[in-house]
Amino acid sequence: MIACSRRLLLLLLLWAAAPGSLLEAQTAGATPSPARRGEVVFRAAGGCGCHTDYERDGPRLAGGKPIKTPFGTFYGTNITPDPEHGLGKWNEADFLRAMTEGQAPDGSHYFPVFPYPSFTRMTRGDLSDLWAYLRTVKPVPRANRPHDVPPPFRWRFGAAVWKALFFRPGPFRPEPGHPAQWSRGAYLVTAVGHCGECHTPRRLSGAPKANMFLAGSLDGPEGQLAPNITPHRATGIGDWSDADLIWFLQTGGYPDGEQAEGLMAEVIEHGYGELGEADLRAILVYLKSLPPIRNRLAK
Amino acid sequence: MKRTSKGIWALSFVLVLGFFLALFFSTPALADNPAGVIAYRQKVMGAKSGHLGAIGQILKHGLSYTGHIEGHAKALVHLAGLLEEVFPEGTGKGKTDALPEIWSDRDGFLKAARKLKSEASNLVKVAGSGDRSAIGAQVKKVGKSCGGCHKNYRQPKKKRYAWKK
Repeated sequence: MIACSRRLLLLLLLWAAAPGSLLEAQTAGATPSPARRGEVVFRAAGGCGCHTDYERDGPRLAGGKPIKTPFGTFYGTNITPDPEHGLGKWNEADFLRAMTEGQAPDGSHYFPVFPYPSFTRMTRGDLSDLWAYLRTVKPVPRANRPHDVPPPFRWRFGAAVWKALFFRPGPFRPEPGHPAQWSRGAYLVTAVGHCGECHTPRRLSGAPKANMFLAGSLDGPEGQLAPNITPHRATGIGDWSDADLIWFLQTGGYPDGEQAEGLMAEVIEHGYGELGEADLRAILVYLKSLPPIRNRLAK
Repeated sequence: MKRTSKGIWALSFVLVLGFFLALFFSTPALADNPAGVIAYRQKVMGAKSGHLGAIGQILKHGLSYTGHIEGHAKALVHLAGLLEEVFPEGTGKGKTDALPEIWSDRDGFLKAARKLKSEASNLVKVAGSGDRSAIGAQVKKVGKSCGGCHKNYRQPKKKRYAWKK
């Protein structure tokens, strides 16, 4: 007979191991390499669409993309392995710290326009694989563009204060009692896909309104709104079928024939559109389980 | 009568010339009322999203109507061709989501309209193949050209009067 405490330990070990099992291998056959697995993580993160200046045909992941916020315009950074302007001199620990703690190798704090409040929830395995993938990207010696943000918002000290007030680091923990598919969807949406970073409205402080999760924001990253993607029928996506949702994430096509534009079109084209159907189904199962929130954004 | 007077010839000349001048100068475009043009072109835009949405429904539900896709794509080619005509000067105000750049950056606008026409033409070509995956890939390109034009020449959702959510 296993003692109660040992049973508990076994359960704890299984539970702790669970986040690793959330990583579904999208490639069949022999065990994929970390970089190959990392590419799946990369797609699930929207192809890191904030780091390529698609509109001006900028080189892949070499930065320069303007991201408009109420605090000013930030420019996505060069995340290619270029040693001078990119992440060439970083090691994996640097990358993990940036993604999970919002801190640069030199100790300075990142502005939360870099969505580490979501990425902190990623598993260490996924982050390690993502790092392996990023190392395979072509290095581009393109300097980062300084952010166009007025003081005090451009002071790094402010980012440290913001973090102290609003940032809680820590990985995603699957809630017991939920099926694996739901947990996978919850992980993809809240951690890797970081949908809430654009689709959740924020307070004046820039902190997301927790009770309005995914209910849409007028202040999206291009100064345009990000729609309500809770399953509310009138103001959200409650009237979309499963096929509508999956098709949208694969192609950017709305049920009524409209098409996604701008950054959303880019993260679909370079990211979510490349996900396997199992992952897309997991996302939709999770989204449909959320509380429908009435939030009309139209003028 | 043995001899027609010079006056009758002169009158005849003036009448015939006047007839052709009237024909020449009464081109309908100058007389169109802007609200009507706006309402008409919104129907044209709606027709485009109708056809593209129809193709999307065939593909996303795996319907047996792949034979219909070519016709929808041909309609898209035709409608895209109309774009160049339905944004005349003086139709940028009122119940429209058209941005001023359509007129201030006419070249860019025309380029975007022609891009749609070209991608829709490619869709016509691939539609006959029955290869859902190739058709899907081309539908994505058509969609991208819709979004590419809208991004620069249509009001964002925040200000769009025709977006209801």
